[in-house]
Amino acid sequence: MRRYETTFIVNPQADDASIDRQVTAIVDIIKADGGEILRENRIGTRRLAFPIVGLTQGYYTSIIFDSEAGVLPKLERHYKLEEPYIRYLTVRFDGPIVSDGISPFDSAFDQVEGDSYGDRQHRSYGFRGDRRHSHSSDSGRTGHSSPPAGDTASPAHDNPAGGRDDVEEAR
Amino acid sequence: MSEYGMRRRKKVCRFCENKIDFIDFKDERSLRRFVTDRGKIVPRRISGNCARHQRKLTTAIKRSRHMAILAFASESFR
Repeated sequence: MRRYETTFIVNPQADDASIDRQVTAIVDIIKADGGEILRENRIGTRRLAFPIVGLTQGYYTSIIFDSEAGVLPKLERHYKLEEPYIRYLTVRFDGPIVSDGISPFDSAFDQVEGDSYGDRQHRSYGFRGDRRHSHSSDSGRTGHSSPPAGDTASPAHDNPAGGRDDVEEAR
Repeated sequence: MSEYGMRRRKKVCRFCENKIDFIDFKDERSLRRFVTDRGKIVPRRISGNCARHQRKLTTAIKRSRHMAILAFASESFR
């Protein structure tokens, strides 16, 4: 007995009844094989990150269940044979089972901190443009002129002298 | 930082720090901060993640790409 999560996308333009049928079909396959549904989460219609078979939106459903491994080929077969499943993914599940009220697209970091990327964005780099120029000319680094945006996280990777950076940051 | 005469602060793995051990591939907002604007996975060297969590994160990002939650490449460059 193992814990799995199967997630799939169906065409949201289909009527509610047929979407429902497609979801329950999966549930039935799991149950027919002696599996136990722990959580059936109909996430609902969501924008796809890229169009699939001409669709820009998809109806997402995620089902967490305990079962023997035997169901997996059966699920796979069903997904492949039936037209309306545009994407599916079945994986071993080792996370906590969240209650139905929480959207799975919510961030795990939301409870613990804000939305910023670490503390890096709040840091001031002072006169970076100026320093970078003199820096690269005398430490002999060549071909290292990436744009400022990409380079913010790695100030002076290999500065042999090391002195100038300290001065700059102390300002 | 500069008070201690150090050039770079040691980055701490943000998953370890927040005791997040399960990275859900459906958690778009969390994953978003570990990919670039173009949709590339941010390297460990930049994000400061520990090896263990970077591995899990990479798996999650790849899964979410398959499920069209994250893009393979940024929209503007497609």
